[in-house]
Amino acid sequence: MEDSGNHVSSQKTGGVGEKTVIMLHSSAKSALGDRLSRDFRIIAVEVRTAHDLAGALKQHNISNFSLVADSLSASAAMAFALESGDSLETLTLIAPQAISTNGAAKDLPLEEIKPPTLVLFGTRDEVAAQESGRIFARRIPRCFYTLVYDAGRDIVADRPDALYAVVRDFLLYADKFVFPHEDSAINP
Amino acid sequence: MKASFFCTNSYLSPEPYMHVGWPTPVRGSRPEVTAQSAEFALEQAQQADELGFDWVACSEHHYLPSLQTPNPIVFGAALSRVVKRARIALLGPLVSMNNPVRTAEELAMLDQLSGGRLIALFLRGTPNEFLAYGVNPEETRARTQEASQLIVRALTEPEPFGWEGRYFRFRTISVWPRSIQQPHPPLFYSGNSIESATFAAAHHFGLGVSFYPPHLVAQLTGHYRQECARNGWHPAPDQLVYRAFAGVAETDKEAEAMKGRFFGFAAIQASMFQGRGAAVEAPKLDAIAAPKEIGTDADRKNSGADKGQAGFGFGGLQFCGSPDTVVKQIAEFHELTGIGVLDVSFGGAGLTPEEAQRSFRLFGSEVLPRIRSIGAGPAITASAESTTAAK
Repeated sequence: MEDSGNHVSSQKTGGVGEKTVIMLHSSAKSALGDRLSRDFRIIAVEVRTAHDLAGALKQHNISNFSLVADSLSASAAMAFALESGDSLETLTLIAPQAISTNGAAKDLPLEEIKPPTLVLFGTRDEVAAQESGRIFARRIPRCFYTLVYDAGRDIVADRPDALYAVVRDFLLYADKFVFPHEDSAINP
Repeated sequence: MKASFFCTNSYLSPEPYMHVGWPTPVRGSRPEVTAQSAEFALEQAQQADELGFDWVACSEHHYLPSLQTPNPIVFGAALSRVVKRARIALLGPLVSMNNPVRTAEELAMLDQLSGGRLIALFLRGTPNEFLAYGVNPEETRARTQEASQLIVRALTEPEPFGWEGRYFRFRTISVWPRSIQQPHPPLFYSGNSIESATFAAAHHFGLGVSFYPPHLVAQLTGHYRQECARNGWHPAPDQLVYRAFAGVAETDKEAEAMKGRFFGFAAIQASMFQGRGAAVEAPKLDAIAAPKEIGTDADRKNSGADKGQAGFGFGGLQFCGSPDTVVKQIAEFHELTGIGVLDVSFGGAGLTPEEAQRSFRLFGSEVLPRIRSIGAGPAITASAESTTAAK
């Protein structure tokens, strides 16, 4: 889909799952997008604002989906989550910009974000960024603040398989991703 | 200079020590001796406290009568009730093979129970012990590094969080109680190789070295200090701890006689790699008794030095003599290495229990007061300097 008037550029990147995952900006074209397309129907969207995203989704009749955003698109994703009602199943924020330096996110009423929200930071990311993770955890009611070990700012590049593992589980199970769904019996 | 009493909770009757190989069969254990052993160990810990030892220490080891502390936290909790003044030093839990979140919870509990006196060192373990819990020996360095960082996070993160690691995955962590010492108790890392010392410095851990001869300890502490400086901090003297055997007697002549009979844990250590322990690479006894160099994993010179296979000086009494002589040895050791805390074991094969007890008491009464002024530096605290959170 193309909608230059709304600053929207969307691309259906494929995927085999029944669930629809909207990936903002570069996240869709990354190693994470490639991996998630094994399990989900992935749609990559380039937007500047939450309003643009809402317009594009409405225009193309996309409902009941999860949203994955990276650092630069996290503010728009959170703003969209505040306005989206029940259509947004989960929100995933990968290394969002430090909230202390990002006025847009800081001023958002994060307490009103309703969907389960996964916020990821690398353990080697800068201190201010990780402090943001704690703020998100404190303010977003259903936030799951998760550290990806031995990853820096670019978690996708540093630990793609680890990132995929946790994001996939979250997209599949939402709140229930906190416990394993695989059979753990050694000799069933 | 400070001193730590290494409390081993050794089994007090000789029968099981006759077994060669690891693990030692439990059939050689008598319940009444087991009970006596624990009582004796706790009495010794109480005496160490009264004698002025700064720390009372214990370590995690498995399937051995000589070190009956498979869960040092349990033993540490008992120590915290009888040791009223000294710090309780866990030197330490084997973090490569335990649940790190559980370890963090237990450390926090023990800090609480001890009134904020806990010190902890993260250990990798010896290869035979990896077999106890079925951990792949080849993964243990990486597991130790990850677990150590996770434990620090678990002790310091104020909000519930998840961890997606290489070896550990937890989706919900929120440790209670919070440790009394903030941001966390003083933490050390076992640094018997160049890699481990580098890691300890990078993550602001204190350094623990064991049994190497002084010139090799100096290599490690020198490297560690350089790495600390490169990472923008400087360790206090009591952030460097060295575990050693000591034999103190009234005269040098008596001490020399003890030295002649002492063969430390070298034989036990070698025995660990027989029986089922033979599944892992066997140690070279001469390398255990008299290590000659420290290397890296890459050049293989240390060949598992911090795995307990080679490089340790298990074979001798690192400090041995009359009180005057031992004080002099410790002063020279400190001058060479900068080590600020000695974690001292007074037992070991070849010595009678009476000799070990006399050595312990002489060290506490005649040596300890005289090493206080050696390298006096600021006491360690749970300060921001040792904080590794958010690194």
